[in-house]
Amino acid sequence: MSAWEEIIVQGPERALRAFIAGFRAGRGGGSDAFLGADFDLEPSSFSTRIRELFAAGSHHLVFCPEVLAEDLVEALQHDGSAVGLVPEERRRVLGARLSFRIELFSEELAPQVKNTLLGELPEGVTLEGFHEEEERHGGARESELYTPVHGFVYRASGGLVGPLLGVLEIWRRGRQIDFVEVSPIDLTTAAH
Amino acid sequence: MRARRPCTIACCGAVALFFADGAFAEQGSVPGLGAVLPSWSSLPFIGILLSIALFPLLAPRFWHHHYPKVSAIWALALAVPFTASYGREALHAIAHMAIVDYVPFIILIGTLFTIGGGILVRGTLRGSPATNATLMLIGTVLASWVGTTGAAMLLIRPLLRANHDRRHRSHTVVFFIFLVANIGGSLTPLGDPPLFLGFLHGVPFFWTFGMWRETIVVAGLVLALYVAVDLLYWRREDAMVRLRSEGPHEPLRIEGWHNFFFLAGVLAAVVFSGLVRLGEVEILGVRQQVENLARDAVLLAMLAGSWLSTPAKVRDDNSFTWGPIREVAILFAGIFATIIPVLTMLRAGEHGALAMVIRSVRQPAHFFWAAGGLSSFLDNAPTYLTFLSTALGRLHPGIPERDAIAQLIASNPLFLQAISTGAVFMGANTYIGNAPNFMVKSIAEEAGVKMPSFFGYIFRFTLPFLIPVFLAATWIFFH
Repeated sequence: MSAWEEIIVQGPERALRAFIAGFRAGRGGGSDAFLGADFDLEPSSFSTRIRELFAAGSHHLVFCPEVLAEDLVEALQHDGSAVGLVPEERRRVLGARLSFRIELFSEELAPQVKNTLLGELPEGVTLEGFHEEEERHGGARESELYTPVHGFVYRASGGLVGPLLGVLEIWRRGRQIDFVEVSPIDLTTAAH
Repeated sequence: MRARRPCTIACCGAVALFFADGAFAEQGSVPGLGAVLPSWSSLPFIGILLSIALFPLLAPRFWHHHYPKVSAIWALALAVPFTASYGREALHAIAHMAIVDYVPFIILIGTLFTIGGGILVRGTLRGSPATNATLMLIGTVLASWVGTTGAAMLLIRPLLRANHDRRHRSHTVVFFIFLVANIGGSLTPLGDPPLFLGFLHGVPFFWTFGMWRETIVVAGLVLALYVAVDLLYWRREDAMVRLRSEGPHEPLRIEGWHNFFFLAGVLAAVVFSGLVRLGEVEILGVRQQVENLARDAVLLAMLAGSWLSTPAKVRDDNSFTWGPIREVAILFAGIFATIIPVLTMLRAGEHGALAMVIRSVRQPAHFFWAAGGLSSFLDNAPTYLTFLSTALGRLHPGIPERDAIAQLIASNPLFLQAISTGAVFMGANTYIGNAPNFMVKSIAEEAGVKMPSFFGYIFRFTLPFLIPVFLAATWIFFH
């Protein structure tokens, strides 16, 4: 499993996207690198989060494999300044975590949703704090007008921890299922 | 047993009061009562409306199990001091409301619901924008004839089945609530409870047809907006969904279609009661028209006919239960009891304690938005009655209600149009604006559709789509 790095870059987002696209193309298109904004990833460093409060949109997260990070940072330092891009900080990504919540009202749909989200977890990703419950209300029927209560309610919650790509995969799954709420991804990082 | 005797004696005494002197005014509102009632006598009315609006959102399970007690508490909070203070006058007003308004109202709602619950559309359609728009249009037209609840019950499941494979469905359900569960019910008194209450209070049956322009413009604009939105979402669906389905196909058919004949019977009975005069009888000191009693008897016959002639499987597949009728009967008992002082004060005009309300709404546009705004959050039937009384109190104060309504229609019809359309249309603004809204939401959620939250509904749909249409309607019709 490859290690990943988080690079904080100051500058316009459009210029950064174009720069990353060019960098990847220059390497034959097979390089992985993406912006944190595309995946609800927040800055791991406290100082960057504070900075974002006062100058939202001035700093962006770029994630790439460790083997590319050095080259990307060097490219940004050498050529990025011409378009206003400045790499400021670089950190190693040690792991990622997200929490999720499921609530739905169809007995038929409940196992399908659970299986879609949590069936066959990516390598290295583990489920923690999982809790699920079913409620049935015998007196409730779907045709109530003024006192609607669902006859069946399924609720589940928990957290998923693991390598960045694995947790991202779960995040993508959750975002595609209507009855699932996934939190922003929390990263554990260390100084480079 | 011992505890019941004082209550029994009190009830007998109350009944005896009626029979001791049954000669009270026809309308149940005694001259002068509206001018002496204090404004705080409206608190139980406000309380029950807020309970109906807020408990389903804040404490749904409590409300589901205890709503009869809450309704009884508010009703007694009015009835006990009202009766203690004004004696026979108060009892007569309560009896009048029960006999002339409440019982016919419940009979009509129950009949339409029972008949509608006996009609089931089976089969599968493909949820393309054309199909969805056609279903919406059919539902919108049907709502005025079978009631918004009946039309919603009839068509929501076929609509959900047609869109089962689509990724984006919640917008279709929301616009269904807009059109079928609300706007469509504006053309006849059968369409929406406020309009039937207007009919019971003296608005001629066919008068609501006069609102066809408002209905066509508003429904047409909302339907056009829906088609545009649905086309946008359709383009985002998977290619396989957009292609014609080659899977199992069940032909469309209607089971229980004979119930449309019972529906015709309901329509005939209601129209009949508005056209003929067969005299009066006195029930518990309250004068009731014979044609109204005949109408209610025919309605009950239609209900019985539908119930006995429709196979149980049809009703089971419609998830039909008597629960909704029980809800309406219990909650509206509370509403009708507590609304009495409010209507009485409003009809007293400038002499009543609610004169401030009457002074604050002056033009038809004000009535459209005031009735509509309150209907968005409170049940639209009592809101309609409140603003009807406000208009009467403003323009024709102190005269018997039926005469006042006739004068209102003759000399200021735009006010009644504004109140009627505001109350009916704007029940669509929130989940709690009209009874079928919550029902449709629940059915959709249990079919796997993720519906917007209470505020999500308002900010994503009501504000960008409905409010501009209502502003346009104000400018076109009530300017």
